[in-house]
Amino acid sequence: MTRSRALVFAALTVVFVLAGALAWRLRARETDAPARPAAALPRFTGAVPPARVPAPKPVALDLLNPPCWACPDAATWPIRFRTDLDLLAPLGDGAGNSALWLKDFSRPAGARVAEAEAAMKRRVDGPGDVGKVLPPDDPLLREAEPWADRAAMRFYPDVYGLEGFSTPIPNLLVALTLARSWVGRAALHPETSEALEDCRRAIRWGRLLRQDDAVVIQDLVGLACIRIGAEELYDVARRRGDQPLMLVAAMALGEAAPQRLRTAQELTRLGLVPGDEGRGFVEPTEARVDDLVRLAKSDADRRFRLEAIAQLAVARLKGSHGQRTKAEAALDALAKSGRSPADAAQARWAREVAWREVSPMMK
Amino acid sequence: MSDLFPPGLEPPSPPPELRARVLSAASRAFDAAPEHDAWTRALSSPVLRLAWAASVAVLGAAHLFVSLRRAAPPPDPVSPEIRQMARLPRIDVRSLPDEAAPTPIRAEERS
Repeated sequence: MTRSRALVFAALTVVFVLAGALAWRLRARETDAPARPAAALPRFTGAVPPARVPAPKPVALDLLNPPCWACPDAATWPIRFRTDLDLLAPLGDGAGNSALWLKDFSRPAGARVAEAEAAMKRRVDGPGDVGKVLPPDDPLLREAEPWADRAAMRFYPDVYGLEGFSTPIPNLLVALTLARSWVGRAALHPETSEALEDCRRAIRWGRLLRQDDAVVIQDLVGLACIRIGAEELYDVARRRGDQPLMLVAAMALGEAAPQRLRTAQELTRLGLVPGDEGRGFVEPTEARVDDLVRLAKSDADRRFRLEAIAQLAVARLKGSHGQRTKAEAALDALAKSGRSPADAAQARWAREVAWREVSPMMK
Repeated sequence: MSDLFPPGLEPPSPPPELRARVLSAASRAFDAAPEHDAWTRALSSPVLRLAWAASVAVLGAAHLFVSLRRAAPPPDPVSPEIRQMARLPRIDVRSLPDEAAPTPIRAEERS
């Protein structure tokens, strides 16, 4: 009897050990996953509401004031165009949110991501140094045109939530390719009125991409769209002999590089290494945590406030006791502040995120 | 039985101790018979043996599956082309105004 009981217990022990080890491994596997799989958003199926794009404001040469980004005052400016882009390409008045259409191409779970991949394979070398573009009559290019006539493109929070380092972003390659393609099409026939409209469409598209002011890389792509649109618009205006338009286009062009440099400066200040692939992080120090708190609370640009808040999550998780206390207090204040719902949402993420969710971003 | 045989031809009587010997042997055999308690019955049950073997096989296969199918890293939502476009010039952190230069975390500390 004793032997039978021992054998039964041994058999049961084998089963329990195997089951327990499997449960532990599955749980560890789940918690080690660096990010949750992106939820598939439903495809946009509505019609594009009609839109009207107003004519650009007349250029009053005596009122133009080229901004001096190298002057000391510029250090306090938000990193946005100082030149009124309505002089080049005012936004359309179309209702609806362009983000609802563009989000369908997002990687990896967009409803039309396969179409986006196919379109990227259709690209050809564009004229000049514009890069890879879609053929002038590409159906995706035609489909996108009315979406550039909207008044708004809001991804956050209309489409995506703010999740710190894991914040989803739209398919920026599609966005940039559309702008390049419009510019490339304009460069093929620069003497036509359609060329002027294509340049303005690329600038409007860039302005829409920058509206969110939530993710640095999206802002840089928007800036690139405006730059290439203004560059071609300058050429079109030159052919037409439109000197005021040439002047405003040149002013806008002159503002693109300073904004990239200031962005690099802000990222360096935030502790991100702007030249690296992916993200860089720096070790929290007392001075750095103080600086992050200051940036998170008061930077003029929302995208840099959100980056600073995300960095405070690292300080909260890896800093000294004093640094953690300081970061937690700042995050609590931001989370409760009614000043900006986006800042509050990011602060809540930074207050609750676990190290295992942050650490994969440091590789 | 004595009526069956003619006088003088009756078979001999069994030994008188035979009854006691037989009963004693039967008693010993009864005592020596294996007991069929719950543990033994469980151990010898073909159904339970099959269930145990099946559960061990399923659990072993699940372990193998988990080992072979490691969690894939999430795909990068940003294409290399965009990363290249968004690559910004490095700025010397020592030249930044009004703060000490931060120290980059070394690769071995990123754990």
